[in-house]
Amino acid sequence: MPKDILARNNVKIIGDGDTTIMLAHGFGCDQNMWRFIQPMLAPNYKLVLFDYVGCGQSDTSAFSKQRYQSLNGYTHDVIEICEALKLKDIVFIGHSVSSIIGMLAAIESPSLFKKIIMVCPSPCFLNLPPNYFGGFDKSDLEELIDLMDKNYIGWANYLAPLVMGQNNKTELINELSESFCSTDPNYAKPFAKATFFSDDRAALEKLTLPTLILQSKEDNLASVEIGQYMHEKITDSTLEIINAHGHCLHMTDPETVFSLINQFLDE
Amino acid sequence: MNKPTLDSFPCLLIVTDMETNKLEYSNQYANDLLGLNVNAENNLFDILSKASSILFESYIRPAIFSVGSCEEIQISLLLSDKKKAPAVAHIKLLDSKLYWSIYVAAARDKLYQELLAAREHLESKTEKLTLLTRIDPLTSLHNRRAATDDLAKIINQLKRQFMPVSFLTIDIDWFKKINDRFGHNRGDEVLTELSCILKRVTRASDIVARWGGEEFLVVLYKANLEDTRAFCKRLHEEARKVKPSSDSTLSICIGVSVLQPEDLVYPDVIDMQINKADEALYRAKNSGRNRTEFYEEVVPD
Repeated sequence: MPKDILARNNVKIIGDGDTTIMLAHGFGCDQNMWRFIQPMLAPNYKLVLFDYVGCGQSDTSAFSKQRYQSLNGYTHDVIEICEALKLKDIVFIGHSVSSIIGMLAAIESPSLFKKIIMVCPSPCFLNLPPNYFGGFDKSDLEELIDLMDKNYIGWANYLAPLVMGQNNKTELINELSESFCSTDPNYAKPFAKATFFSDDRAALEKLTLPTLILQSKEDNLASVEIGQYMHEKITDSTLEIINAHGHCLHMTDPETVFSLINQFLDE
Repeated sequence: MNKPTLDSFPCLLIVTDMETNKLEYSNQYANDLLGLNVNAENNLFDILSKASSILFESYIRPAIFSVGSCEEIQISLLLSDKKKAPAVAHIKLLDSKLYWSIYVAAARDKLYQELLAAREHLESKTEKLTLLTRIDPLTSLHNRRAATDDLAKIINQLKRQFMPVSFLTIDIDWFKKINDRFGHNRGDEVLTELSCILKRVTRASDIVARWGGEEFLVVLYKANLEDTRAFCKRLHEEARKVKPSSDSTLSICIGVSVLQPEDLVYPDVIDMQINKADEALYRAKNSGRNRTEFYEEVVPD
C-alpha cells in the first residue's frame, strides 16, 4: 500500500532534521511551488513534498471524479500519505486551499500534526452577506470554472524547441516542456470547484493546534480581513501580515516566510 | 504615409509591474477598448474580471515567476461599458515588467462554449449508457458484468489490505414450478420481490447482482463467519415472506465460500470463489433445499 500512495502522489522526501515538515501546494501548481523556499528549509528539516492527484506528476489514473469533487478527497490524499510514511506529530505547511485541507486532515486525524502553518488561506471565497465577505460572488466563481475549462495552460510546449532553437540540448528543452504549472481541465476544474465553492468556516473553531497564519497585505484572493477572521476563530493562532503583493508569498518572499516559520517552530 | 505606430495594431498591448500590478503602459487600442484614463493610475485588476484575477494569481503569476512567460491564456477583460469580453493573452516577463499582448476572442469563445456543451452532452450520455450496461433490466440489480468489474476492484483493495469477505450464491428453490404453475409474469415478480429483499438486507459496500436466471450473487464485505451466518439466517426468513401464491412460500438455497488471504495469489480468484460457493449451493440443493451450506476445503490426509 505505501508504495502505491507514494507513487500516486509523487511523494519526494528531502532534507535532514529531527522535525518533519509536509509542504502542500495550493490550487494551481504543484510541489514545484516550494522550490524557492526549499533550499532554506532543507538543511534543518526533513521535507515531505507531494502533488495532489490530478496535479503535477501525480498518477492521474487514480483520479476519481467522485472522490475529488470536494476537499474531502484531497484531505484523504494528505492523510494517506502520512499513514503510508507512518508520520505523526509533524508540521504541516499549506498554501492557500491546502491550509484548509491541512486543517480538515488535522480534525479528522488529530495525531498527524503538531503545528500548522497557513500561507494565504481563506476558509470560504464566496461573499455571504451580511456577515462574511470572501471576496467573490457566485457568478465570479462560475466564470472561473468556465475559464478553467478553456485553458490548457502549459500545453503550448510544442513551441519550446522552436523558441529555443533546434540545436539546444534536449535536457534543456525537456526541462521547459515539463511545464511548471500545467493544467488539464479534467482535473483542474474539479479542484477549482472543490476549492472555490467550499465553505469551511465552521471547521476553524474545531482546530486546536498551534497555527500560524501568514497573509499578504495585498492579496486579491485572501484579504487581510479574512486572515483576521481566521485568527479570531482559530483558538491557538498567530497572524502575521506580510508587507507584500500577491497570493504566493512562499515564492515571492521566501526569506520573510522562512524566518517566520523558523520563529514559530522554535516557540 | 504616416509613420507606423504601435497604436495602430488591432490588439491590446500592455505593460504591468510584476510586483505591484500597476499598469505602466497601454496602447491606444487598449485605452479605447478598456476606457482607460491615461492620466490616472491604473491597476491590472481594474481591467481583468475577478475570475481572471484568480487565474492570474493561481496560474499565470506562478508560471511567469518560474519560467518567465505564459502563452495563450484565455481571460476575460472588463471593458469601458462594464461588459466583459473574452480575450486571449500572451505574457512575457522582462526586467520585472510583464508584457501583455491581448486579442479579443469573442467568436473563438463562442466556439469553445459550443465544444464544451458538446463534451458535457457526450459525457452525460456516456455516463447514462455505462450505467445501463451495468443494470439488469428486470430486477434493477447489477448484472453479472457489473458485479465482475466491482469484484475485481474489491480484490485489488484486499490485496493492499485484507478484510474478511464472503461470497454467496443464491438460488430460488423450485423456480421452474413457480413459472409453470403461476405463469412467467408471476415468476418475474417473484424475482423482483426477492431482489428488493436482497437490496434491503445488504449494505452499500456489499455486492448484490443477478447472476443469471434465478441465481443471485451477494458478496459481503467486511463480514466474518459469524456475520455471514447471521445474514444467511435472516435472508431465509425474509425470503419466506415472498408468496408465489396464496398457499405457498418462497424458499432459497445459499452456498457460501469464505475468502482466505492466501486465495488472493490466484489470478482467477473470483471464479474460484464463485465455483466454491456454487459447489456449496449444489450441496444445499441435494440436501433437501431451503438451507445454507458452507464450502469446505477437502483436507488431505
